[in-house]
Amino acid sequence: MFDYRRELEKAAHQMILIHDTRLLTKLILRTVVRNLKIEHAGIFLYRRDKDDYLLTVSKGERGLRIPEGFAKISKSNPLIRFFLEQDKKISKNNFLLYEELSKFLKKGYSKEKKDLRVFFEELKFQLELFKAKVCIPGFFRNRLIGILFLGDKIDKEAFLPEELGFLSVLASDVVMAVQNTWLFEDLKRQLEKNRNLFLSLVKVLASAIEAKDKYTLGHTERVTSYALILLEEIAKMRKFSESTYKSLREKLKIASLLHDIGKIGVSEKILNKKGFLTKEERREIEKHPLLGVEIMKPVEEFKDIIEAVKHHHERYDGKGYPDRLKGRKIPLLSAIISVADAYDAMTSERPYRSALSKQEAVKEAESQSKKQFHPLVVKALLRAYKKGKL
Amino acid sequence: MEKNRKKVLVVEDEEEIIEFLKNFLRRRKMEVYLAKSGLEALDIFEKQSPNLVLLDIGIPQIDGLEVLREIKEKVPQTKVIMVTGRSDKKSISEAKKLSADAYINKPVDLAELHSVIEKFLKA
Repeated sequence: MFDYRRELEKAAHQMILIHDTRLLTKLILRTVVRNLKIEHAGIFLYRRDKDDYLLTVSKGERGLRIPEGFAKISKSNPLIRFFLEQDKKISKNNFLLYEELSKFLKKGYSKEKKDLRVFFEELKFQLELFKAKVCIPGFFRNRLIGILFLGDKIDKEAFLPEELGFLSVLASDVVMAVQNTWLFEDLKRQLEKNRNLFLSLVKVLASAIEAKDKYTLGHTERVTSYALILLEEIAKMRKFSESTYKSLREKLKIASLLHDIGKIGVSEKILNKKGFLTKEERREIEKHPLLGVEIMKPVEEFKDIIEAVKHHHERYDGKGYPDRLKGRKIPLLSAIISVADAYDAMTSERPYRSALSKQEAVKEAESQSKKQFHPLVVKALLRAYKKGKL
Repeated sequence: MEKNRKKVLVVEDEEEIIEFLKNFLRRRKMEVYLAKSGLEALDIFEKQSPNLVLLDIGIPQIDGLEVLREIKEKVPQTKVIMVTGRSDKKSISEAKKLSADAYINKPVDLAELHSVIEKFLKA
């Protein structure tokens, strides 16, 4: 008789794992309606933000069909109160059956229980509104998370005790799924909060470098925005998956904000010197990628970011520093920062020369393709320029 | 057709909601008319002069508030219930100014909808 049962249980458990309440409730209702041959069924789910119960899904071929998200019931609705208040019992089981309620009302009441009678009359009316013959509550601890309700069976037969028992198992699966979804949402919110705090800290650090190096005011923010534009183009050209793109983007953002962090350890005199640098001074400045690595080393999660910062002065032809890496051995994020860095330098005013136009700078970068720069990144720069993104 | 059946006009553009409201109202022994746009609503209103109108604000062509204004100008005693997803205060106060008789937000509390309809049809 319950040949669909195993299949349904399996599916329900899978759904719990993927935190998809809507899919789960839909699946459960569809299977219940079809296999128990009932006219319609629906689920009320508690909404944390509104503190009410939303009719999330209602399915049925013959019976009542209520559009998704159209109807709700408040916490004071008799349907909710019936399951939450101890004095509202009409039988020993945990469900609410329309038949039982009707019989109960026919029995009549003593006068002192008049209030209760009014309550049950209202409850009966609620069941009629939704054409519900059976209501099954889903609890988590003492909280009523949802109510599963079913309409008449198509053949108008009564529900069997074992069917009702099985339905409450399903209701508790829904509760589990909802609970998981909520936890997941909370976690996501928390992470988002931490992430924002973290990014602000990174920006504070980045501006600490700028405070030291007068000529580079706004440089890090600009390099970051160019770098992200370049990555976007590369992702399109190379058809990166959404998740790859997202993770690279996050790392690139931090790496480009911090690419010059090592300059904190370079003397201000050299950083701000006008005119040409001596060999000694140049060597001093060229230490900044490795100084950056030292500064960021304690952050374990920064592995890829540290690599990106370390190699942002490498050249495609292997003549860069600190490791003289060549071609594809240079991390992609470093290759991107390298082009973004140079592009910003060329298009910014310096005391010893005026700024190049965008077009001139792009041309200059093109002439350095496969020499100073990774050809793919140069291509991305050209595409971004043509689209007017720079 | 019974002579004293009350006429209700439902103005709504979502197919599933129309279907539901139609059944909901017919079970209450009402004669139900449907309109999916503001223009259609005014057209049916002229021909059928319903006792009650269930009116969604966000409908195509002429918006619900405009339909409300016209209805109340033509036949002020028509009862109009605004049913809408918009919960912003501006459209609520606008609807009140145009003397809408009730205002129900989506998601709808069906018990509330039921009692509002009962109240107006008895009056």
